[in-house]
Amino acid sequence: MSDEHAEAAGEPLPETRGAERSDEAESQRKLVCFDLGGRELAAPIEQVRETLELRPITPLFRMPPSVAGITNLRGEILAVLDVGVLLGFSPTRRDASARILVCEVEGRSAGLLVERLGPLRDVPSQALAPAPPTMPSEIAALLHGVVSLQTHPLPVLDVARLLDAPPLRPFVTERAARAPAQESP
Amino acid sequence: MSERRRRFRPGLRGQVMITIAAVALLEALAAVYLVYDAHREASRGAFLVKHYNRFDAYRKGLGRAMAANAALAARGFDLGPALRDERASELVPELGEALAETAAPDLVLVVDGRGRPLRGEGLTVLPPDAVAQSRLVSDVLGGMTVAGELARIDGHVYQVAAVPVRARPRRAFGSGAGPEGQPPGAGPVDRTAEPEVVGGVVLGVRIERYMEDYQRQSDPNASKQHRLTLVGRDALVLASVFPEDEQGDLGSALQEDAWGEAQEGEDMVAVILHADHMYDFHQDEGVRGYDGNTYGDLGSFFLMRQRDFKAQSFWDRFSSSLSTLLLFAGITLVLGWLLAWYITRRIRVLVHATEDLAQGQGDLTKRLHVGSTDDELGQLASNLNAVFAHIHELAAKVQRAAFQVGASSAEISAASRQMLDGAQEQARKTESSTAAVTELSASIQQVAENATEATRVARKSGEDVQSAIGRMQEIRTTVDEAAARIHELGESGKRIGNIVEVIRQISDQTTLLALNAAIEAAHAGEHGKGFAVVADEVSGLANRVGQSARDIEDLIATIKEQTQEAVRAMEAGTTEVEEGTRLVTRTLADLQTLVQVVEDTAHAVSEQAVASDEIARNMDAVQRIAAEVLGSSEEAVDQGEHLHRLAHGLEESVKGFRIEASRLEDGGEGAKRLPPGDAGE
Repeated sequence: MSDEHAEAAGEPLPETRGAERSDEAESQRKLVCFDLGGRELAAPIEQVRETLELRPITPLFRMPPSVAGITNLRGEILAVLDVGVLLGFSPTRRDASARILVCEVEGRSAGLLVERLGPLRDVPSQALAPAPPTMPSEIAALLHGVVSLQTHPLPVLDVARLLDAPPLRPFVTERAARAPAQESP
Repeated sequence: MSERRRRFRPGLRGQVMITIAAVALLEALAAVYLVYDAHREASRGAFLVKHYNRFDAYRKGLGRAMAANAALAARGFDLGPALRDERASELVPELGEALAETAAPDLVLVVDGRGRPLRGEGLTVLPPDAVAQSRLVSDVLGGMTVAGELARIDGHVYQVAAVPVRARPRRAFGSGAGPEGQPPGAGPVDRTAEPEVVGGVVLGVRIERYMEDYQRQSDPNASKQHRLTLVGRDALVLASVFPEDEQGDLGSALQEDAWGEAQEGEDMVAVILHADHMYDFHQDEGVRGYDGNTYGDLGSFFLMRQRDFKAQSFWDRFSSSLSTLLLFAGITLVLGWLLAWYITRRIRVLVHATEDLAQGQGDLTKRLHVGSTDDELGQLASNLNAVFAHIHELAAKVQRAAFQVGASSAEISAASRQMLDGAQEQARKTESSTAAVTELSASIQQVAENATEATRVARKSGEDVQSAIGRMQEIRTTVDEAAARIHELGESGKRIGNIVEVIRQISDQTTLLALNAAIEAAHAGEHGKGFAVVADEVSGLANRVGQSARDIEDLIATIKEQTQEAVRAMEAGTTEVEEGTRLVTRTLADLQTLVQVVEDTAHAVSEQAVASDEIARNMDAVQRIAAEVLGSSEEAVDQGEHLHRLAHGLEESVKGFRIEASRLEDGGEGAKRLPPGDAGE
């Protein structure tokens, strides 16, 4: 686990390493799928901590449009990001099916506002392809790649890069950074 | 009239009356004769009784005389002492002679004290035992005098007279003298002793002699003489006037069961049939007399007279009276002829005079010429003349009247014929009217029935509509209830929706939890693999639950939609039903109005039917009256024609008479105008 986190933090392509370590891990990757702006996206399950129902989100002053606000998760102040705005979609609707996807990478955690949670998908590691060149570079920088499903292409977010993106950086909680550090030795 | 007074001539009635009176007198005489004769015949029964009594008295009287003779003879010859001294035989010739002389008896018997008969000249010889034992002799020796009795001795019946002979006894000598051995006359006569019977004298005359005497005296005509017969028991003829050779079975013929019957006037009488003759008779039953040693019933006397002359008497009488009757008839015929001649001689004149009238070509001007009017025929002639005059006048009047009647009857006939035509026309019209009215009545009747039927149908329809309204209201109620149920169903759907919403939320949360669990499992690495599988399963279940909840929600939505649609449809139905009810109610009201109208119509038509019936009946009556009028008219025509014929016939009849007005003394001035009288024909 600690290896995974370390490699994920250090390597842009974690699936390669996973494949090296075990055949099973190499062959299958679990993706948490969700909808944003009417499209299906996915995030690697290693970068997701938990999922939440929509809960009251308190807006903050002078926030960029890609930040929805903050919320209290079991005593922890968690920033909720509107990734759709960041990805160029319209602001995410907050209806009954809206959920909050809590992600944590290298001690940094934040909540992603999604329109809807989809199923867990197991996909082969080889299925993850690099983002097509037609995609804008700032968008493609936020992706691991694209998995070609039979019906449609499924972009897979790289939550680590997303949390590192400049507009969001100040709002990402740092609490979780020590825990992997303590575990890593 | 004066001539008639001078010379007495009885009228026709008188002449006839006298003749009839004469004939009646003669017939009365004949009737008296016949009645007398018949009466004589009818009294024959009593007649025979009378004669028999005469015979009986004669017989008994002679018997008593004979007894006196016997007593005198016995005394005269001093027969008593002779018999006592048993020397009577010495007296016999003289005694017998004397007794025979007195009454010429057929039986002369002298017996001694012991019943022994003396013998000798002049005395009848009989067997001594029969004499000694006979009752007659014992009676005489007992002291009895017998007179006028009958006795049957030695096969013959005698009229007997017997006297005892008495003498004082002689005294007996010695005590040794026995009653038998001692000869009588031994001692002197005991003058003091009472005379005792020492014998008897019996005289008898054969009864046939009496009978023949009587027969001879009864009638000089032998066929009418009375014949006597004495019949004993067992049909034995004891004595009879019939000669022995003629007697034959006379005894049995006299028995009652052999009697016959014969007509005598109105009655049947008993008769005796003997030797081809029929006899009237009188029977004297229970004739008593001596017979041997008894005295008692000897038999019956029959007094008989031949009835033969009576059987022939009808012819005898007829033949004897025939001449008389013929004479009477001849006299009556002659008288009748004379009377008839006298009467018809003058009537014939009248007959000739009226013959013309009788033969129909009467000359009413003729008159009878009768010289004398002093009897009924003369008066008849003059009356006939008067009648002729009357008839003459009457005929003239009848002729005139007949002419007028003929004319009138022709007019009547013509008028009646017109009336008949009118009546026939009327009858025809009335008949057709009656037919039309009857037809009309029938039509109205039909209409009335139809109207009644229509009323019935309309009422039925009203009831049906009424029931349809009821049904519609029921439908409305049912629909309302259904709507309420559906509404409840919608409510239930809503509640189900709420529940499903909860389920869906739970499913969402479960999905979330499963995802979180899967995330946790992924974070756990190899250790979390099993858990990941469970999380995956839970996620799948949650998804399925969510899917089902969504399906349920969809279904509920569909149900809701359909329910609302049903509610809408029901509301529309309710509206329709209400509208229908309103319409039907209005229809019902209209129908009731219609029923009322139809009932009124039916009522009116019924009244019309009654009225038309009345009219039909009246028309019937009119037709009947018309028929009667028609019949009367025909009758009138017939009568008119008949009258006309009568008048014509009358004219024709009267035309037969010749009438001359100049010869008529009174009236008849128009009697000559008769021939043109039948203008009415």
